[in-house]
Parts: sequence; structure tokens; C-alpha cells
Amino acid sequence: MEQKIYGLPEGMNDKKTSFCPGCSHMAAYRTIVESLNELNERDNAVIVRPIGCSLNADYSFDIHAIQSMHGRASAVATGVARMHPEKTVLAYQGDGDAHSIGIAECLYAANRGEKMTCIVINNSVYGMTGGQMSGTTLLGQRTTTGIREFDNQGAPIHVAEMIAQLEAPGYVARAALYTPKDIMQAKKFMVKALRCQKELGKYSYIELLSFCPTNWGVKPVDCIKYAQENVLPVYPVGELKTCF
Amino acid sequence: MAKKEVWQGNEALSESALRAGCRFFAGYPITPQTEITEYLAKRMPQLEGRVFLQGESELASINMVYGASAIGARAMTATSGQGLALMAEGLSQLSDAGVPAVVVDVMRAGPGNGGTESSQGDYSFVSGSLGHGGFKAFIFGPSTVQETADMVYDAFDIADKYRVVVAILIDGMLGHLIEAVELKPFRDMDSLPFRQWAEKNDPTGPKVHWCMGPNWEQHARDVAAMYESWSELAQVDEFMMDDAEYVVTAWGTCARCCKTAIRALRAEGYKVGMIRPKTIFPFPKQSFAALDEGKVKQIINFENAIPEQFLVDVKAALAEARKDIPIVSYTHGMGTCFTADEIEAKLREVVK
Amino acid sequence: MAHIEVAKERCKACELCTTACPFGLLRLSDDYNSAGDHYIVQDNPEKCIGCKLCAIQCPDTVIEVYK
Repeated sequence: MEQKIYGLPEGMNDKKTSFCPGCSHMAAYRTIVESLNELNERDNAVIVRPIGCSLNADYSFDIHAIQSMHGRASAVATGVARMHPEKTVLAYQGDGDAHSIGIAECLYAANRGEKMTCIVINNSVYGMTGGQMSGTTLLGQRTTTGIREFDNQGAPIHVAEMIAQLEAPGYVARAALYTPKDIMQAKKFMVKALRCQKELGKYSYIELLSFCPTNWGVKPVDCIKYAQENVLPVYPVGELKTCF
Repeated sequence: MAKKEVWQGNEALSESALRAGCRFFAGYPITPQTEITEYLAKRMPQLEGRVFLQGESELASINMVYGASAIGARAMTATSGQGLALMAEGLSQLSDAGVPAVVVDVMRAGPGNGGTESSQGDYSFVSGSLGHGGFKAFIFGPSTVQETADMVYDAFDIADKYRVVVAILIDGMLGHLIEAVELKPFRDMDSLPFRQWAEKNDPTGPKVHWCMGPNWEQHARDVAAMYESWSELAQVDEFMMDDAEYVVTAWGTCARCCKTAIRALRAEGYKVGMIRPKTIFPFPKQSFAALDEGKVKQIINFENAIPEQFLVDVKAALAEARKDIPIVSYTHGMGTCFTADEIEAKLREVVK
Repeated sequence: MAHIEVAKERCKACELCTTACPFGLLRLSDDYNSAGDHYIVQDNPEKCIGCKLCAIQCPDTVIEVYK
């Protein structure tokens, strides 16, 4: 008799989301839900989601969620974590969100070593507003606010590396949501990040490199090759700091 | 009756907030608010279950307050003009999401960097709209240290009951003023109202305020109706108004100085009184509607803001009640405040 | 024996899963779902080994794997 061996994890429903075809956001959410399930922490988790594409996942998973303003998720998560240190607190942010407008909140939460996990979906553009240049846009990448040139905008910012050199964070990693192998690695990192928060009471940061086919102007099937050739050389994946 | 103690305005406010059940405070230093942050930094760790956190900015602080309150804790922040400008975004979010908080603005002078001197220049900023979008705060405008302490104590209950931001507008003068006050007792933390909406999957929680479309519009209409219902909660101090022919309008610390001047003129037989709103929003329109046009010869407005801000509300209240009474207005505000002597001199010119 | 089931109404036709299948069994359908999208169908289902790679690759978790 055949058994179901893979599908939507418990805690995610089959509501169709409004994410674009090929968008990595739901893969990120699935990774989070699977990891929380594995640690039996989903009911104890609070996820703070600032405005951005992440909001398109409203009502599609069963985690206590709090909306925040653009860029402020780490500050809101700080308030949650301080009042309820027993909770598994997640800040689910984008790259424009955590690496530009909310970089102060993101870095200071890391520097204080808040008992939370900051998850940053890095797709190197502002997705919800329609593909404008973000802090992580690659050199030469075409956006609706111009092509990134070093002389004008500098190089893509590496926030994970910045956080990794702070003293307080316990776990810092960058993973990709490109191929099944990447996604399985991302899940492994995610579980470690959550365990670091839960078991050691430390701050974790995990950056998930994601596709944005619509705003990259690349067909979803071609995104894997595009990302491997263009994104991975700039943003290598791996653990930057670990407490295990 | 408990014994009166001598407290500085900022510190009395802070202690009273803790007694009212404030469990979380995040703030950023700014003159003339800093004593609040300093006092709470020292005091909160002495109490069980309280968290003090100095944010990296006002932006971060208000969002920390949002997080703490959204998960169920009575939370507060305090700042002054520039900081309030940075908090505007967060305050708007709090009011949209229906997450209660108490926000103290210890006003300082002027726009931009301005000066650290006392002023009443944030009146319109706070009373107009709480950040973008047009939702409002319940606003107290105390004029004594005792009132400040009492109002912040009540503020947490109002915030919880209506799920709104309650703002306390004081200025540097009141924040630094030292007076004898009687503080209310510590609340039993277990008896504070339970926040069902802060629980997981509660449909009215901060998760689902993101409900575009007809529901969202209905939500705004409900909020507007709630603001209307607050008119009964307006608080006002009608000072020597029974037979007043000259009516002073003032609020906050400016009104204190007016009282001294009014007493001096009353001693000489001049029929001067004062309407002093204690809540800025809801504004005590009833007091203006009750004015007798045949009796009141002149309204004299004093405020420490240039151009006038409070006067706009006074005029609106009079217009709404269709009262045609001449108004004259005097202002200070860019680093200087009215003294009682100056107000007395101005009043003498009017009643002459 | 293994097989997959595709929730065709939720499929957005991004075709990412087609790159994941080691045997190239997946392709877009000729007809449409109610959203007007093609959806993923499996050719030669008897060759499926239930490796889950397509399901893991699918961002919307449209594919269920049975083994």
C-alpha cells in the first residue's frame, strides 16, 4: 500500500496564494513550517511579517502572525521576544526591508542578541512595488529604477556577513531556495537556527536566496541557471557562524 | 488618604504608569523627555515582570512597543517632537491594527531641530491624525503634575478598552516641574483586562487588520463611530466661568499661568473665567456650546505655539455651536512661554 | 511503486518541477485549469520512483508524492 511521503506539511492549507509563478516565498514558508513542526514549536511560534510580498501568504499557514510596518519586523519581534521569551519568535523580512529601510532595526536586534530568528528573503529586488533596485541588487542587474552601477549605488550589501561578525548572534547562515538540494540545505539551516534560538536562547539569522522571476524578467525555469550564474558568486551559501 | 510626595513631572508620570500596569517600555533619549527613560531604566528592573529597553531609535522603540502590546503587555513609550515624527509611522500602524499603547510627548520648541525649551507646538501634529491615514489618538493635556500622574494611570485603561493609542501631551515645563502629588496604588497585575485579540488565531488580532475591501472600510466606519462616542469622555476645567464676561481659552501649562492672572483680575472685580480642555481629543465642545453670546464679550486665547494650533479647535467648536463671539489670541512658543504677569497685562488690555 | 498527485487548480505552471525530475517525466498539460493556466502532468508514471525532488522543488507544494 502506498503511503503519502511528501506534500503540504501540517499547518499549511491548500489555499491558492497570489504569489507569482515560480516565486520562492511559499517554499520559504514551507521550510519554516516544516522546521517548526519538526521541533514541535509551531503552536508556540510567533511570526512577525512586515509589509512586502510576504503578506500574500496571509491565512495560508497556521502560525500566530503579527503584521508590522516596512522594515520594522525585527523591532516588533524584539518586543514580542522580551515579553514572551518562551516563544519561538520569527521575523520574516525581505531584502529591501531588512537590508535597506530596516537595517538599523535588523542589526541592532542581532547585536542585542534578541531571542529570535530573523529570516530574510533575498531576491535582490523590491518585489511588491514592482522590481525596483534594492540594496542587494546585483551589479549590472536591470531594475525599474535603473541598472545597478558601482559608481552610482555601490556593490550589493552583505548583511549576513555583517551580522556574523557581531558577538551576540548564535547562528548566521545563508541558504538558497533554488534546487531541491538547496531547499533541503535551507531546511537543515532553518532547523539549526530555530534550535539555536530555542535551546541556547540566542539570536539566529538566516538569509534565503530566492527567485523573483517576474521582476528579474527571467522565466521561472530559467531562474535556476540565472541565479547560479549571477547570484551565487556574489552571495555564497553556507553557515557563517554556528553555535553547534 | 495617602501622604503627598514631592515628584518631578516626568518621574511622577513614569511611576504612575508602572502602577497602572505598564509592563514594557522602549524609548530613546530626547530632551526634555529623558528623565522618563532614565527613571524607568532604573525602576523597571526592580519590579517583577517589567521590561525596559532602550531602542536604537524612536522608530525601533515604537515598534518594540507594538510587538510587546500585540502579544499582550501594557506598553508605553515617551518622546518629544522629533522623536514623535519618527514614531508617526508606528503610531499609525498601532491605531490601524487596534493595538493599544500609551505615548507621552514632552513637547519642546519649534520645528526642525528647534530648541529644548518648553512649547505647545505638537498640538496639531498629535490631535490631527495619528501619523498617516487619519486614525486618531485619545489625547490628554494635563496642566499639573498631579493631573499628569492621574491621566497616565487612566490612559492604560482607555487604551485597553478602546484598543487605541492614548497620547499624553505635556511640555518641558510640566515634565520638569516638581510638585506635591498623591500617586495611585499599584494595580494587581492579574486583574488587568485579558486581551483575547492577542491570542493566536483570534480574528480581531493584529494579524487580520490587513483586510482590504469593504470590510476595511466598515472597520474605519466603526472606528469613526467610536470617536464620536468619545464626546462623553471629554474632560474640561471650567474655571470661574459662572458669570464670566471674558473667557480665556488655554490648555496645559499655559493655562496654569492664566489661572494666576485670572485670580488677580477677579480680585479687582473683573469677570474673567477660563475654559481649559483636559482632553484634547475628544475636545470638550460642550463647554463652548454652552457659552452665552449675550453675556460673553470676548474670548482670549493664550497658547505657546506660533502660529496658533489650539485656537483652531476653539474656533471650530464655536463655529459648530454657531457662536459669534469675538476672539483675540496671543502666542509665544519659540523658546519662550507666557508668564502669569504677561498674561495679566494682556488681559488688562482686553477688559479695560 | 510510486506515484504523484498534482493539485492542478493550484498549479501556476512555473515548470520548475520539470527541471527537478531525474527522468524528465513532467511536462505542462495541453488543457487548462480554472485559472486559465496549464498544469503539470506526468508522462510514463510507471517510471516514477517517488524521489520527492519535484515536490520539494515546487514552491507552492502542488505535488503530493506517494510511495
